Order: sequence, then structure tokens, then C-alpha cells
Amino acid sequence: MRRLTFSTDLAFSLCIVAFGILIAVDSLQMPFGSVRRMGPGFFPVCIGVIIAGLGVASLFDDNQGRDRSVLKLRGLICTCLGLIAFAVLLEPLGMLAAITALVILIRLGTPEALKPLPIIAVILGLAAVGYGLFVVIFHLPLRLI
Amino acid sequence: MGLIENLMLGAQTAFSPEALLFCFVGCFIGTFVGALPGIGPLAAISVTLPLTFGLDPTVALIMLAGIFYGAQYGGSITSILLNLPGTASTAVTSLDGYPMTRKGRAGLALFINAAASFCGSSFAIILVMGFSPLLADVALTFNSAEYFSMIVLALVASCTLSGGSPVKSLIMVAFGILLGLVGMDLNSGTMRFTFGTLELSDGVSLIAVAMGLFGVAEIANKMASPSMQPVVPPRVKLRDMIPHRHEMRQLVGPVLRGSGLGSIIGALPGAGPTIASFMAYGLEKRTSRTPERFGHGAIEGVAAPEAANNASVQSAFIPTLSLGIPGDVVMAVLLGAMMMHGVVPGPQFISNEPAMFWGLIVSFWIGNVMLLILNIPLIGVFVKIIMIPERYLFPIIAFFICLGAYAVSNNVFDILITVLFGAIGFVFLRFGYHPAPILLGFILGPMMEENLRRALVVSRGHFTVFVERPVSAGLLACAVLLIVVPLLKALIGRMRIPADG
Repeated sequence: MRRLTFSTDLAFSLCIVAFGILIAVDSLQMPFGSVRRMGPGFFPVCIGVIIAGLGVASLFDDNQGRDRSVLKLRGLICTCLGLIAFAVLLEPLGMLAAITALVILIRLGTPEALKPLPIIAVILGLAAVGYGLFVVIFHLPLRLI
Repeated sequence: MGLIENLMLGAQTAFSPEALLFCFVGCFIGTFVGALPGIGPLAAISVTLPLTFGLDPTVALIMLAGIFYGAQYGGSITSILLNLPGTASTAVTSLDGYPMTRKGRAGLALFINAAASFCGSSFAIILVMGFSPLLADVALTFNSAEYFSMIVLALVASCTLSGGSPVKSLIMVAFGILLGLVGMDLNSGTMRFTFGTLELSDGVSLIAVAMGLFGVAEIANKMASPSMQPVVPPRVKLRDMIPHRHEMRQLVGPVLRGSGLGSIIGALPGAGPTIASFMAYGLEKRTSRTPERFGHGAIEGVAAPEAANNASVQSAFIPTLSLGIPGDVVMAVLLGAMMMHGVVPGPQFISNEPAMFWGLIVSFWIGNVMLLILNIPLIGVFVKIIMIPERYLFPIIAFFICLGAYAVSNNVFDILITVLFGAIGFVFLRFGYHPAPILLGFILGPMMEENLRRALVVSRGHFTVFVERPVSAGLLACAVLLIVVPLLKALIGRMRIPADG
């Protein structure tokens, strides 16, 4: 058994325990039913309890798969912003605007400096493929501009 | 119906122009996506799935299956040529494949890869043909209690057999089960975990979740690490592709052993092509009379894992098609695809839809032949595409992920779900939790609840129903053993250390 020292791993395991308890308590608001006739809340309560129990077990895990490299969030943030921008711009402004936002934001997630020419090439290429493949062939109800 | 008649029925379906076209498309996309590091068959299947809604269900499945086994061929190409495995299951091939390239024997390595992969697939397809109908017939006699126990065993096995921490995998499975419960409960009409939104009343989209966890999270992770792409691509000489006669004799054993091992491992839930290829390599090294050659360009080191990973990918269809239990995470998505096309997986699948089942089987043969022929000439093309700098590949992949998510129900909400699960997946990966079991729990969770409910209704609330029938008791006992045995081993290990001093 590992000595329990405070670390983010410990905090994460406790979050899992808390999550399990939260699910179980929340599911009690739904009709629980009886063992003979399971209500909609029965199974979620069981799963919530199981998650909480597993969370406790994970406190004693030896954490071998843990990524301990320096946390670099730039990639994640830029990717998420890019996708959100795409989702927000797609229907009001069309595919071209959405693709432009997507490509530029994701490109900002990588450390290399931005070069306009290849970026424009990728944007136009994706717009062409996107329109040709998804709108013309697969009939998605999207417009280019 | 006899085997010949079944195969003729399958051939009728699989040789239609539409089926042949989409089989080719699937194999091509699969090879391409398998060769690209960072995006795998799972993401590709998730993206193309909504686009298949307009197709005939059999044709759709043929294409999606083609992507799956095609990826095993493609991943090995970059593994051998560039020491960059496109998929985890082809990582082992680079151990001896890349040294062969460095010695100028890339052509031979690629040929062995293609041939061994084809042999492995063929071996497993024969098993699928033989075992699936048998297994389905047995499973037709199962009742809800046995189904429940089978699902429990499948989930436990996938957590304990796949390596890594079983506790963490079980947490992922449980989380996936919860996700599967989101939406309206069909038995009571109650909305569960929908937070009052209309979009969630139908449940969370499997595709949006899969692409978030495996597409977005992977991209975000790769962006955080330095690029591993080589600057100079290797040259491949087609002249020295064919092995010498004595080398061919050397390869028979590894290919047969790899195929056999891969077929068995692939059929087990949770154990997939990655484990199969690693174990086949280990087995070859241990049974070889000259193990020191491994790691420096031993041809057996390429043949065995390649036969194994292709065999495992084909045999994963056995539990999927005969029982409706996915043998692999990708199979879980394929099952989701079947359900989306209105096909009910389970033991009745083979008897209800014989044309679809045998059509799929025949399409496996066709697909593997296509891949065997495709592999050699297209290598140059694939290498050029892989050399595109990562920083441009990421937006391209993200674009396909976005449109794939959108195409599910023409709603941008699903793109936002993908983003959310991308962030969740990133956090999980950071803490050492691999998100793959989430999908298994997602697909199997609702089935688990339904069977539990039915079993308890029939037995009027007595839990003994799960141990009364011998099959159910046996399955649950296996699940318990899988959890208890490693725990005991760990405890005994710890007790021995103080004694040795």
C-alpha cells in the first residue's frame, strides 16, 4: 500500500469519489422502485455508488500511466476555441468563415510562426473538399458563404 | 442452409457494384488513416458513420469494416518505413521493420507485412465463418440473467486484460455506462441527466463522444509534444520485394503462430490488435533458436505481429456479430452503427439477416484481396501524404471531426459535445486514465440495465437468479476470478518481499 501523500492524483481520485456520491444522491430524486420492479433511478444509484467505491480504490493505485510532463494547455485551448468558433459560425456565416476561424485558431496552437500562404491554401482546400464532398455528394444542408 | 449456399448468398450481396465500390472506399480510407499517426480507425469510422445513413445498411457496414481492417495494413507501412507507427497495434512491427529499412530491405519488409497480414486475416475469417453461427445458436438459449452476466464479464475482462490499471479502466467503464443512461428512460418516460435540454433527451451522440475522446483529445495531446516526423523519406526499391525460398520457409511458423494467437485474442472482449501483436512478437522471440536477431531486422519479427494484428481485427467480429457484445472499442462503434441503421445485433442477427452477415464475411475476403493489391503500388503516395507537416494536418483532421459531428443530426450542438469530451478526454489522459473503455460502457450500459431489470422481474426480485443457471454462474465466476486473481498475486508478492529480506 502506497503512503498517501497529497498530490493532484489524490485530489483527482477524491473528485471521482465526490462525483459518484453526487450521481447517487441526484438519482435518488428519481423513482427508485423496488428490486422486483426497478425504477429509473435504481441503476444510476448503483453505478454512482460503484464509481464512488472505485474512486476510493483508485487512491491506492500506483499511478503508472500518469503523464508527468510539463502541462501545456495551449494546444487544447486553441483546438477547443477553434472547434467552438466553427460550431458558432457555421450556420450564420457559412462554411468558408467557419473553416477560416478553425484553421487559424488551431494553427495558433502549434509553436511555429504563422505563414499566410500555406494557411490560405489549407482553408481553400478544405472549403473545396467540404463543399464538394459534404454538400454536393452527401447533401448536408450547409452553405459556403 | 449449407456453407456453400450461405457463401453464394453473401457473394450476391458483396459483389454488387455499390458494395464493391464502398468496400474499396473503406479499405482505402482505412489504409490512409491507419498510416497517419494521431488519427486512427476509430475517428475515421466515427466521422464516416453519419455519412452512411443514406446507404443500404449492409453496404454501410462493409465500408466501415473495411476502414477497420484496412487501418492495420496502413499503420504498418509507416511503422516499417518511418519508425512512426500509425496505430498502436503496429508499434511492434517497427522493432524489426525499421532496422530492415535502414539495411535497405524495406521492400522485403513491406511485402512480408502485406502477405502476413493477408494470411492472418484469412485464417481469422475462416474462424468467423465457422464459429459465429455456432456461438449465436448457443446464445439464443440465453435468458436475461445470462446476458447480464455475459456483459459484466465482457466489461470486467476488457478492464483487466488490456493492461494498465484495472481500477482506472473500471472507472472509465462506469462513467461510460452513466453516459449511456442519459436521455429518456424507455421504461418509465423519465428524463435522466438531461439538465432540461431538448437535445439531450435522445441521449448523448456516440459519435460526438467518440470523436471528442479520441480525435480532439489526441490532437490536443500531440500539439503539446514535439513533432516526431522525419525530414527525409526513405526510398523503397520494388526489385527486392520477393523473399528468397529459405526465407519463405522461415516465415511459415511465425505466420501460423501469429494468426492463431491473434484470432484467439481478438475474440476476447477488451483484448485487441495491440495486445495480439505484442504477444505474437514475444512468442516468436521466445520460440526462436536465435532470439538475438530480434530487434535488428529479423523477418519473423515483422511477420508474426502483422499476422496477429490482422487476425485479431477480423476475429473481433465473432462476439460482435454472434452475441452483440463488442470484442473491441471499434466494434462498439460498429455495433452503434448497426443500431443506427435499424439492425438489432445479438444472436438473432445471423438468422434474421443472413444476407447481411454472409455479405459482410464475403466482403472481408474481397477487402483483404483489395488491400493486398493496393498496398504495394500506393506506398509512395502514402509516404508523401504522411510527410505533410503536423501543424497543417491538425486543422484538416479537426475539420473532418467537426463535419462528422455536425452530420449526425445536422446540429451544431453535437460539435460542442465533441469539444466538451475532447477536454474531458485530455484531462483523463493526463491522469493516466485511458478513455477507450468509456465507449464500451456507453454501448453496453443500457443493455446491462435492461437485462438486469428483466431478470429481476422474472425472478420476482431474487438475486439468486444470477447464480442458479450454470452458464450465468460460470460467467460471473470468471468475472470474479479476473478481479480477484491479480489482487491475490499482488498481495502474495508483497508478503514474500519481507521474508526474502
